[in-house]
Amino acid sequence: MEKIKLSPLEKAKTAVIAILTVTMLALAALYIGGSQFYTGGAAINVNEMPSGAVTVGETAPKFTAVYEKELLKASFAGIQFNGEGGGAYACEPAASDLISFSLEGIHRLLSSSAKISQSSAAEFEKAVNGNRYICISLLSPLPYQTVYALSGEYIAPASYENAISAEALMLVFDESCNASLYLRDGEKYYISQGEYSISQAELTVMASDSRLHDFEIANGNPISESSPVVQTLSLGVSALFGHDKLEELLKALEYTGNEVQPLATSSSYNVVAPHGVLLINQDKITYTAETEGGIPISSFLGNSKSELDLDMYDILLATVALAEKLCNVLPQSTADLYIEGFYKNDDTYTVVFGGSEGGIPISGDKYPHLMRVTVNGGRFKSIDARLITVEKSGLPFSPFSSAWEYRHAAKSASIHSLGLRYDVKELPVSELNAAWYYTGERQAEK
Amino acid sequence: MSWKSVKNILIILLLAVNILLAFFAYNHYVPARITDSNTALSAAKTLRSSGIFVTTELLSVRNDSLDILYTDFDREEYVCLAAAMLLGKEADGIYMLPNGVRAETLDGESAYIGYDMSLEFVARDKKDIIESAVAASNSASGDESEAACALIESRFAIESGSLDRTLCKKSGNIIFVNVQSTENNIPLYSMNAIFGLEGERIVYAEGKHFFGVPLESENAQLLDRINILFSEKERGMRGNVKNIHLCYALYEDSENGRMMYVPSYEIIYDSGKTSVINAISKKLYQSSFQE
Repeated sequence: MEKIKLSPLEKAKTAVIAILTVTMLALAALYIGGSQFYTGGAAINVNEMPSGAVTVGETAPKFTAVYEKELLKASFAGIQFNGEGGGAYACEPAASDLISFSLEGIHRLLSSSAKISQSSAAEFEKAVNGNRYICISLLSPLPYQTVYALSGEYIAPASYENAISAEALMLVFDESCNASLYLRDGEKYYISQGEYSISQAELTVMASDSRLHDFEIANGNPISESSPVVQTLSLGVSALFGHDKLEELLKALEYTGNEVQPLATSSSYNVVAPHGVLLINQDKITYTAETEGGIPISSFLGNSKSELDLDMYDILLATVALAEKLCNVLPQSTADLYIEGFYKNDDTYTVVFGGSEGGIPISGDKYPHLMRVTVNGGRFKSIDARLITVEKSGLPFSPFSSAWEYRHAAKSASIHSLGLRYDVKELPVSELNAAWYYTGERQAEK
Repeated sequence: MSWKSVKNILIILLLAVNILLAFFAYNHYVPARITDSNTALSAAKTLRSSGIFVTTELLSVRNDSLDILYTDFDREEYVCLAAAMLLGKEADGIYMLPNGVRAETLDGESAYIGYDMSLEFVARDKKDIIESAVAASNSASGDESEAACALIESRFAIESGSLDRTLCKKSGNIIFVNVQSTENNIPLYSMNAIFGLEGERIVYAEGKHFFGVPLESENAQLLDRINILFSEKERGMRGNVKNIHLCYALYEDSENGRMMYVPSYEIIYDSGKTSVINAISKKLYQSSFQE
C-alpha cells in the first residue's frame, strides 16, 4: 500500500488544530475554574487582625506569660557563696534581683528532666553549712508543680509519687557550681537533682551585692539582724460599682443578658443565671454555680479546649486570667496579686489568690484572701473575691528584726515559719502596720 | 466533504471557541480587579448624601494589592537597638518613661525613644547650636547629599537610592537628611524623621523612624476604596476627599513577638485632615479629626 504523503500545508493545519485544541482546553479550565472557585477581587470577607495587634505606641500591655506575672512571691531571699553573701526582705529591691536570678535554676530543677527524692533535715543543714546556696522563703507553701509553672515556661514538671508543698527553696551549689534544689515542706525535706549550673563569676557578683545584709538560717528559716523597712497602709472597701463597672464585671465573668435585681439592702446586686448566682456586696463578690452549672474555664483560656483535656496548668491559667479580669474591673490601688494556695481534693481544684504589698501578705479575719476559686469538671464552681483598696499612708517604719523576733518567739515555741503580715482585723483601716507572725508547735499571735 | 475541508472548518470553529473563551475569561477576571465607573458613580452619590464628597476618578481605579509584611519585634530589645543607633554605642542606662525610654551614656549623651517610634536626640556638644542650625539650614550640595543619604541608607538598612537627595539641608558641618520610610515604594504612615549628620556621626534626630526591616510577607486581600470610604461614612466623617493613597501602618503584635506592616489607606481631605484606615479590617488606625 502506498504511503500517503501530507503536504506541508496539511501538516501545518494539523499542528494548528492541535494547538487550538490545547488552548481551548486551557481557557475552558481557566474560565470554569475561576467562575466556580475563585473569589478574588475586592475583598468580600473582612479579615481580622491578630487579636493582640495594636497601633504601634499604643499603651497596651505587652503579652506576658503566666510565669512573667510575678505571682510567685517570696518573703526573703539570701545567698551565701565563697565567704560572701547576705539576704534581703522581699520589700527590698535586692531580694527581687536575687529571686529573678534564681528562677531559671528553680524551674530547670523542677522540670521533667530532674529527679526528686526525699532528703532530711540533717542533709539540709549540711547543705546550709556548706555556705554555697541561694535560699528563698515563699510567702505561702505551693505544690512544686505550681512553683514550676510560675518560674518559667511550662512544658512538663518533674514527677514524684507524693505531693510536695514547698514553703522554702534552696539552690545548693557544689564545687563545680552544679546546682541541686532543696524543697522544704514543713518538717520534710526533698532534693531535686538535674543538670543545671551557674558560673562562679555570676554567683560571686550576686553574693557581693552591697545591698544585702547578714542573715543565718535557723530551723530552715532565714533570719536577719537587720530590720526591714515597711510601709504603713490604708485599706478601704471599694465603693459599690456604678452601672458601667457592673457591666464590665458581668462581662468579665461571662454573664450576659441577665437581669440585675438589687437586694432589699440596696447595697448589693443579685444576678441570677441558669449557670449560677452572682452576689455583689459592698466588699465582696461571690459566685455559686448551680448543680450542673458553672462558668467554663475554657472561656478564659487563649484557645478552646475540651473539658476532658484540661489539666492543672490550664486551671492555673484560667484562674489567673479570671483574677486579672476582676482586678482590672476593680478600682485602682488594689493589692498585688500572688498565688497563695493551689489544692486538689478529689476532682475539685481550689486556687487561692492573696493580696500583698511590698512582698508582705495582707490577710486576716476581715480579709482572708483576695480571691478563692474552685474548679470542677472544667468549670468555675465558686468564686469569692474580696474588694479592697490599698494606699500607702504615713511614713515607712521599721519593725524589730526577724532575728530578734525569732529569738523571742523561740522561747515558747518551736518555730516552723516566721514572716511579716498586715493583719486585717477591721475594714476600713487607716493606718495598718505590718507585724511579725510565726507558726510553730504552740501557735500564738503576737 | 474532503478531509481537507473538514480541517478548515475545524480550525475556524476552534478559533471561534478560543476567542469566545478568552473573552469570557477576560470579562470574569479583569473587571473584578477594577471598580467600574458605574459602581464608582453610584458610590460617590451615596457618599455625597452623607457629606463625603469624592470624585469618581478616585474610586474608579484598579483595586490595590499589597502584602502584609512582618518583622520580629520585642519592645525592650528594640529600644536598646534604637538607642545604640543614635548614640553610636550601647546605652549605659535605660530609664522607663510612660510612653518610651530615655537612654543615656556615661559620657552624658541622652536619647529619647518613644514606643510610637518617635525619636529625640541631640548630641551633647551640639545642644547650643542645633536649634539655630535647623532653622538656618540651606540646601546641601549634590555630593554632600549623596554621601549623607548613602550613609543613612547603609546604616539603617534602607534600600539604596530610596532617600530623596533633594531634601537634604546643610548648616555648618551638619547635613540634615529627611527620611520618609518606605517599603516597596509604599510610605510607612507617619514614619518621617530628620537626622543630622556631622561626618559619619549622628548628632541630631527628630521625628519617627522604625529601624526594623521586614523579613516575611503574607498575601492579603485588601478592601477597595469604596469600602474604605463607607467606613468613614459610618464613623460620621464629613468632607471633600482630595486624595486616597496606600500606605503601610505599623501594628505591634506583642503576643507573637512581631511588628506588622499593614496595608492601609490614607484619606486626605481638602481641609488638611486625614484618616488612615486599615485596608484589611476597615478599622480606623489614626485620624487627625480626633486631635
